[in-house]
Formats: sequence, C-alpha cells, structure tokens
Amino acid sequence: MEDGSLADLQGLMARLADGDRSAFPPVYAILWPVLRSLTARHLPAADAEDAAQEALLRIFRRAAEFDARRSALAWALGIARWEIRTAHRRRQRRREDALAAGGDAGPAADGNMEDALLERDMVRMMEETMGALSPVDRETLDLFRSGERAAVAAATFRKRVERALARLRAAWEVRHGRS
Amino acid sequence: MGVPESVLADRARRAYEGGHLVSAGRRALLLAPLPVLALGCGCQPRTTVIAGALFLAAVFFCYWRGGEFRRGAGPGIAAGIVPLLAPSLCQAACTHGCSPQMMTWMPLACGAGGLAGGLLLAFLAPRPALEGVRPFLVACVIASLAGAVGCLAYGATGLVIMAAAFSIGALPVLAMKKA
Repeated sequence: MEDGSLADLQGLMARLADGDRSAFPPVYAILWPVLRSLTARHLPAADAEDAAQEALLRIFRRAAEFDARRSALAWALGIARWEIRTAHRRRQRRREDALAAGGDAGPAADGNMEDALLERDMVRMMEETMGALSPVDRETLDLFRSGERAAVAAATFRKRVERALARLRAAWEVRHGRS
Repeated sequence: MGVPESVLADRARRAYEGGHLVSAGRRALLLAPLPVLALGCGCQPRTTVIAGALFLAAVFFCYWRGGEFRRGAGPGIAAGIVPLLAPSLCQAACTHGCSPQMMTWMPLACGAGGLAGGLLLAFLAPRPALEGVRPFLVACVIASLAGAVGCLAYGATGLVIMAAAFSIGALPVLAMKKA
C-alpha cells in the first residue's frame, strides 16, 4: 500500500473527495494508524479496534462530502471521536443490560465515568497543546474563550484569534495527530 | 476484531464507492423536480421523460465519476437550467394548452433560453486553456441535455434553435476570454 505523511493528507483527502480513486491507498495508509492509536488511547483493546474500523469506514463513506477548505485531519479525528463516544455508550448499555439481567439494579455510573475520563483526557491534551503556543496566543485564546476582548480594535482581535487558532490546530496535529 | 488488513482495505474502498454513489444520487435527485416540471408543463411527455432521464443519468455519472466530470457538471447544470425552464414556463403560461398559438412562442423561448444558457456557460464553465478540454465539454453536454428537456417539446427544431442560440451566446464571450 502506497505510503504518505500527515502533511500530505489535506491534498490527498481533497483529491479523494473530488473522486480521484488513486488517492485512496495513501489516505488509507495515513489514517488507519492514526485512528488505531487514537481509539487505543480511549478504549479497551477489545473495543478500540472495532471503533477504529468503524471510524475508518465512516470516513471513507463520507469522503465525498469532505470540504477541502476544512482541515482533513480535524475532520477525520472528529469522526473518530464520535465513534469513541458511541463505543463508550455501547459498553455502558451492555453493562446496564447485564446488570438488569442479573437482577442487580446497581448504579450505572461506569459509562458516565468513562465519558468523564474521556473528557478529562481531551482537556489534558488540549492544555498540553496550549502550552506549546506563545504567551500572546495563549492570552488571546483565553480572552476569546471567556468572551472578553483585548484592548485593541475588534478586527485586529479577530485576526489574532484566527491566527492563534490556526497555530493551535497545527500544534494539535503535530502532537496528537501522529501515531 | 482482528480483520485482516486487505479485507479492511476492501471494505473501506466499498464504503468509499458507496458514499460516492449516494452523494451522486442525492445530487441527481435534487434536480429531478426540473424534468418533472417540464413534464407537467409540456406537450411531449415521452420525449421529455427520455431527455429528463438522460439528463439525470448524466448528472449522476459525472458526480459519481468525479474529477474533471464533476468540475464540468455544476456549470453545465447552471447553464442548462435556463433553456430547460424557459420553454416549460412558456407552455405553462399559455392558457390555450398545447395549441398552435402556443407553439409560435416556443422558438422564441428556446432561443432566449439558449442564449442566456450560452452566456452562463461561457462565464461559468472551466476554461479549456486552463483546466483542459474535458471539463468544458462535460459542461456543454450537461447544459445541452438540460436544455433538451425543455426545448424538445418543440421537436428537433427546438433543439436546433437552442443549440444555435447556445453557440451565439457562448462563443463571443469565450473568444473574448481567449478560452
């Protein structure tokens, strides 16, 4: 299978969305390890492989809808995160069913706990990525998040936010996109 | 769990093709009301059905095949809608039904629609000098098929008038833009 790097993913994904079948092997080769690594970080081994496969199939099923102006990696990871959440919910349901079948009406807090753990993991990853940004970018994003604005013109602030977000996205891709 | 890599790649490819088929089908389906409208307004149901089916099949093929076909399809549809709608609306507006009186207006509707479509084609279609001949040809074919759905109500003459008007509308602009 033809190989490629994450840096090529954007162009390859745009070609695939446009109907260029020759972009399929490299996109597959790039995405599969990334998805496996992501799901393995959030799910037990038994569910991680299934979730990665589901995510991969869903990504290819929706490839024709991919908007080339968006980040391909962020789009693919968004789908993978959805699959991780679905796998968590499925596990929770299985556990609840098992408890109900066993006549034990214990609290079904495990799934919520997993969601919380996933959330906490994401927050930790985001904080890590934020740490890689410059203090100015961090301050800009903090202000933006809290709905405030720096003492500059609105257009200038908007530009700063856009640039900081672009750098954050790039840093995220470098840190967490790679397998 | 434990699906061999080659099997997974095959499944991913099938998912990709399936997604592409659905996407192309959805686009063709969105355009289905146009031939239906022409059918409701026109006096040549059989011809309209055949032309409409050909038009929708061509749109479906272009979006499924992707690449140059896809790039030509959008401008072709936009340019073809005018000669499709003009004769249909002319027939709908005529209170005398499919009378010879109404038929006197049809050449005008086909000509005006073709002229406007030709102009749109010249402005919207991918330029052969920049993107190659195929996307431009695809745009021409799709526009002609769409126009045929409306203008065939006036028989082959309607089609000839539309084609001539198409050329009159498109050629000067293309010559000015040096294609």
